[in-house]
Amino acid sequence: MKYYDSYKLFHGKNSIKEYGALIAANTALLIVGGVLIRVINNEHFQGFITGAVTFLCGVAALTVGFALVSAVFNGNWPESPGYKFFHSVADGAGHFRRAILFSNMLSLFPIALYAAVGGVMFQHFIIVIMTITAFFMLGLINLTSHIKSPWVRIGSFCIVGFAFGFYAGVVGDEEESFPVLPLNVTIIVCAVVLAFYIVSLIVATMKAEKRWNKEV
Amino acid sequence: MDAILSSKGLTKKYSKFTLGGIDLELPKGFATALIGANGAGKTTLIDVLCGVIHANAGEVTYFGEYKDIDSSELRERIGYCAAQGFFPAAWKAKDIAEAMSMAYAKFDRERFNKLCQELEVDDENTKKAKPMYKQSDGNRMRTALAAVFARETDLLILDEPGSTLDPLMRDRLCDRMRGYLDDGNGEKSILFSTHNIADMENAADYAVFMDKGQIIEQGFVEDLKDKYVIVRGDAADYDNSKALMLSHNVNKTVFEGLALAAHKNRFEAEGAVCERPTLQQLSIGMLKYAEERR
Repeated sequence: MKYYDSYKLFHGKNSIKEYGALIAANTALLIVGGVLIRVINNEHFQGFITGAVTFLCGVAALTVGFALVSAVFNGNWPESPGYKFFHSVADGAGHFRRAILFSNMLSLFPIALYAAVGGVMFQHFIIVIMTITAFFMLGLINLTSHIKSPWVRIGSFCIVGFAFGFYAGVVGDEEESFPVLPLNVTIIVCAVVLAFYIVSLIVATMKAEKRWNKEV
Repeated sequence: MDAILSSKGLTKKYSKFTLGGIDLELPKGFATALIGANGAGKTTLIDVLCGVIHANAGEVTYFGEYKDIDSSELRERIGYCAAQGFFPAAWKAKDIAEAMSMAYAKFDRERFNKLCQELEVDDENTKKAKPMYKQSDGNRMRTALAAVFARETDLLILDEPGSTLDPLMRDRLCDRMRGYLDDGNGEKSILFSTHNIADMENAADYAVFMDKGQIIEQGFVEDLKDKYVIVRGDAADYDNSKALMLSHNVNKTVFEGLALAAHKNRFEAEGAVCERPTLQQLSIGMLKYAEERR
């Protein structure tokens, strides 16, 4: 409850309803897409739906998670309206730490749901790529949130996005060999990204108090 | 004097500005106006006092007992409202009420809604309520004031509460501030900042004048009005009087300035007229004096 309260401090009213609706719509789109590629037996259509739905739903899941986490981090930017309110509240640093943790936990839900439903419906490698990209991006937010310049974050997001896109492209080109080499590589990449995300979360929560009291 | 808040050597340094060595004593049970030009350090001082930013040196004692602004008990007793952007831009009245109830034990939601209605802004029950970014500066300030007045506090610290309000609303704010002090039976106090005291003159009992991060004068308004005089005379007599004036204006026919009341007889001997200043005249004279001596 304490964690939920801290999350609510940074988000205002219960925003879970809105996010819940978005996640439900995203999941529904994945299911409909998955059903369509089974029902309509046309290679071009199946390719189009697979590419479009898996990509769009992956980006949507990441965006929902991103919004949940970045709303908390924005509370510590002097340029953001609300900064003075958050910083005038008792135990602001404690709220900040708890809200980072809670919003991170919440943000994992749409991504995990995307991975599970998308994995079952499409059984396509892009689902794995999008999922690990989402984890990596969230980790990046956790780690770069204290950097004043937004360009550092935007730049690193662009580089990571491009890198994962390139990786997906390479894997797509060599789809035939996918079960042999890339699977091993992918398991390693998954493990590294997961470790990166966990470390970023630990660093973000451990340094929350210091960041809160550091004036930019 | 029983002080609700006192500071000693309070210092906050930035690369291009220093709030330096602030020694302040705010009287308990009164409204204190923090007066200064833009960039005088009023907001910095308020932010330090409210714990939004931390001082580099010096100490503050609140209610004669607390020294640590991070104490939850102390923050519960202080109601603070920033000059602008106090709440996140996307928030509506309902978000504000939720966050305030979460942050403060003594936040009264019913009172918040009632105050919002009185101040003619969206409350929690307003259908299609607008987020802060779609509201005018004045309405944002009204909502923030409703939120802060809906709390049970012992000290209100308001940063430029009147600057974005229309004259009628400023008048209502002054009444509300008076009501807050009256309800407190001498136990509640207010500190508010302003760069234009004219519309809030009735709300101030004690005044603190600031310039370039320093306090240049402070005292009860009535005492300050006794301490200084406004001098008026013919331009021909200006040269004889100007040495005794703290700040002055002169044109082809008349001169006017601020001086210590102790020199009143000398001005009158020169044929000038001395009047008791209003707080507005005192503010302009003080700030001009500080500006000329920078």
